[in-house]
Amino acid sequence: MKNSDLATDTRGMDGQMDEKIRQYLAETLLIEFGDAPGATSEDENLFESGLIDSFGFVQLVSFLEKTFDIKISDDEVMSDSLSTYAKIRSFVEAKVA
Amino acid sequence: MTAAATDIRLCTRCVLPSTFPGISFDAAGLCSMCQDAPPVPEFEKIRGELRSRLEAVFDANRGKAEYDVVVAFSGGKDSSYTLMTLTRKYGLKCLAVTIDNGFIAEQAQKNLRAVTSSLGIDFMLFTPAPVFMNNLYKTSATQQVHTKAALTRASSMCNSCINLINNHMVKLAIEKSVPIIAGGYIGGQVPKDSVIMQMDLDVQARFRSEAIKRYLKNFGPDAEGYFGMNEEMVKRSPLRKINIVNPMLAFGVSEDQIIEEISELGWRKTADTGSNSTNCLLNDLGIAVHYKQHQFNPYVNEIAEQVRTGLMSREEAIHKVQDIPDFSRVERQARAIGLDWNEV
Repeated sequence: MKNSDLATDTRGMDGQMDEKIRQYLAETLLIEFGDAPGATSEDENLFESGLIDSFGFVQLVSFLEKTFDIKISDDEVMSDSLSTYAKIRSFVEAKVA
Repeated sequence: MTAAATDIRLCTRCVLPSTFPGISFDAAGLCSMCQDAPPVPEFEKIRGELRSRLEAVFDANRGKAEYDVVVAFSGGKDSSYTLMTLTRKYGLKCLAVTIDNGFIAEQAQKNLRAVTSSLGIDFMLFTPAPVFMNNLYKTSATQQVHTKAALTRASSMCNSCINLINNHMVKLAIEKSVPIIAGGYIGGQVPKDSVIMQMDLDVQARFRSEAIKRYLKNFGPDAEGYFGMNEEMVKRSPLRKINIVNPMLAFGVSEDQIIEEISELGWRKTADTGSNSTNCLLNDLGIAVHYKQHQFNPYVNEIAEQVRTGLMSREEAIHKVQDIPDFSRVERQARAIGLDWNEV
């Protein structure tokens, strides 16, 4: 799938939302989730594990805002809302609900 | 030159290889990045919009502090062009800042003076302790220091150096309350959204605290001084956000055009920095190490982006990405930082 295909209305499509976030993290930030050796768990802190740096975080916020048509405030950026894959998913679900 | 492995497939539009992380190809051999990219003429329209956004940032911040912009100035062609354009075209008061990593080529050192002198601007040189820098490079070549994504944009050695430089620029901007920091990065060296980034100092502090742990672990206790920040100074600063800009992403000029224009300032091309650098004697070593570890040239992302956006021919790009230095070409540099090739 091309990234341009991602910019569709995703409200209420939790499975697709999940897939899009997972795909973005895998293809752009090169973070693989799963049970395989070396893979990242959904509850692993992406910053503490050194999987996302400041550039990566700027990219991630921009991707979430554009793809899901949401606005992420400075307070939300400063909070712990985007530190793990599970939290990112819950955060976006709550935002688009 | 080490010939690129024949079983590595290259994108039929740009030159991204099949060994590049996260890449896939369609039936026509087009890589996933090219599938997403607009046709070449569209890029000028995009760059025009980006230039308008840049001008708005410049207009909003001009004349507010001792300097309008701190420019990370390596003396290479891109940062020289950035400095020239910000000074002459946009009328910004620039402070050019160079980090001397101990490996700036002799001609590049002359270029630092020639460019800043011709432009009539202030210039600061900061030289970190060579013992720290050599250890930083050696460790970066042998340990996992950076994210996988960062390694698609530059070698591990370059990433470490770039992060040290960036931190120094932020430190200076805060000390002098300068609202803008400019880099000379071009497409592929930094993420696409990096033309203008507003850096919130509180958010940055959070990332710094994570990053510093990694740097202390890898580079030793002196890393605090180079990658850390006086947090009290950050809290006291009237600046709460700094605009980080990479104007080259909006300019759309080819390498030949850049060199022609900066030559007027007395800038001359180096002869000893390899085909992908115009200032650093260590660059080829970084490429050789990266290729040995990851099987792709760390410059391929930026070179592919230049092809994709119509700023470089595919033939020239192929020549550049296949120019992987073999060990004999970088042995002297490896010795200089105490690196044993077998450790890589």
